[in-house]
Amino acid sequence: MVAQSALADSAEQKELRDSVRRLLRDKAPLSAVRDGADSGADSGAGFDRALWRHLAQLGLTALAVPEKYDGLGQTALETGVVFEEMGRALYYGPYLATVGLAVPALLLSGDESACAELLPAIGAGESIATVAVAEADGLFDTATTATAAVRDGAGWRLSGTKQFVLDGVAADLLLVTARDGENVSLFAVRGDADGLTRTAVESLDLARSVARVDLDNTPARLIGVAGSAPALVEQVLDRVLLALAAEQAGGAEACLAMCVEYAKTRQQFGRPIGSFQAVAHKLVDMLHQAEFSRASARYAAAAEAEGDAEFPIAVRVAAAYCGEAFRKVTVETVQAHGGTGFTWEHDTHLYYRRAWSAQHLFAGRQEHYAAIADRVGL
Amino acid sequence: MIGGVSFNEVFLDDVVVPDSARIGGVGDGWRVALTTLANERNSMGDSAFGGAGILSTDRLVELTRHAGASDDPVVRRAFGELMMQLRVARYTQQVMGARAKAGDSPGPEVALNKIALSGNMARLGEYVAEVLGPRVAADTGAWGTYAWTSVILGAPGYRLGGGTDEVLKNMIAQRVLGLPRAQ
Repeated sequence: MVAQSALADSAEQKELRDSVRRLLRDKAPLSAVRDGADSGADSGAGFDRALWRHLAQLGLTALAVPEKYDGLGQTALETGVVFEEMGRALYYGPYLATVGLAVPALLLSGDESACAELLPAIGAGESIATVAVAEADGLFDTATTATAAVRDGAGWRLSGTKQFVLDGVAADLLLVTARDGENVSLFAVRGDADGLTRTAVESLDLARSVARVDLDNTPARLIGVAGSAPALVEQVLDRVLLALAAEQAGGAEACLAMCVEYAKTRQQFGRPIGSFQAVAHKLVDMLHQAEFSRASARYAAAAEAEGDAEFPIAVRVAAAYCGEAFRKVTVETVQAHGGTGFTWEHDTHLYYRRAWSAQHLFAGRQEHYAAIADRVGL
Repeated sequence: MIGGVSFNEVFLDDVVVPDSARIGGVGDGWRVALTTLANERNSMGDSAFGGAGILSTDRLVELTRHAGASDDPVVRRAFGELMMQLRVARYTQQVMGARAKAGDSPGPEVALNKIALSGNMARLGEYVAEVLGPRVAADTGAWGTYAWTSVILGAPGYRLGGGTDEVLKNMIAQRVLGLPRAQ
């Protein structure tokens, strides 16, 4: 049973939420995402490094890092608050990759010496990190891993191609799955390693940087125990889906706010369009989806934070619900804004792109449904 | 519609009611009626998620197995989708309750729970029918089959009781979203 006190923001969590929301509103306007795409300057590493330092100063990069690794030792509830606000603002930067993927991957690996060596710099905001699992088929699992790992003295060398790597170009540290015969393991690769080529690829989501990563006899260090990647990747997938659900909930709330504002001011036939039931009921449906998204993401975060047995189910419930709810909300957001909602200049398409991308990036809803059936014991 | 007596019409013909049986002030009946409706709505939302009722995971797992459908990947995904809707409704109710306790007053948005319930009763009926197939169309006497038609027949009532989904949406549009009243 998840404790009731974990389901509502504490005073500290409210403060955290307010400060992140203020900072992103001031320093990360949506216009920057569009301007970046307009200029074609997006090399994949074009995020705002000054803002990243600001986030680090606020302690956001250290939130999920345990105190023994110089972090703040906070739970999924606190990172959930941050992801929700980042989703609301469509924050463009390597936070999901670093805090949503790499930190849980290192912690769950159980490799204390790797954690001690790598996590302090991540927490300080000095090391941007990501996890590279998917290959050509896009699946975030290890069954089809083809990237090869070969022993080289005390270390390893990796060769192969990873796709759909979040912030792969900007990353100082890449955690890469690779295969040595039957064993698929997780390896740490430095961003400046020999034989490593990172190429930004076009991303449907203009606020997300995606890379292809080629490894050619690239030196790497084994993380955790050889052959442990299959179980580890499954756990990491649940953690990133948790972060993504909070982002999706925040995005849905942002879209709803835009639509309500527009429906109150936009006049048609001599009255605000929000007075038409066809519009009003559409907006209530959006409120429904946004509220239930926020609540389910929160519940899953609370289950994770408390180590509750419901977590494996709750996270897939939240992932499936928030993904579909956000997508539907963005579809209706374009519609509610009429023709102006279908212009490049409007923010609607930025959320629409994010929603479709986020729903499919790691696992789609059919996979979530199958996982829920498995996990409740059908 | 389903022949149950709990949904009924009451005829009053010169019934004498003592003043001591009056609820609320004279002329205040509408407010009293709205309060009872709101409570009906909340209790509908409250009672129907999880537990031992027809929406319990165990009952639905057993239904699916008993119908011989639990290895069908399409059914498994439909089951997962239904389970997602039921759990989201339950989680949301708990989160809203926690927020209320923390002093973030539960506004009229709690009416969303009732809309979720009526949607979930309809989804449950669809799932049951998909899993049982022809066995919902006629009663062969086989245990655990035709009895589920009570879900299919009961679902429309949930969309009406405690305020129709449409009236609730009007209320939420005005009182939660602050949209102008329809003219």
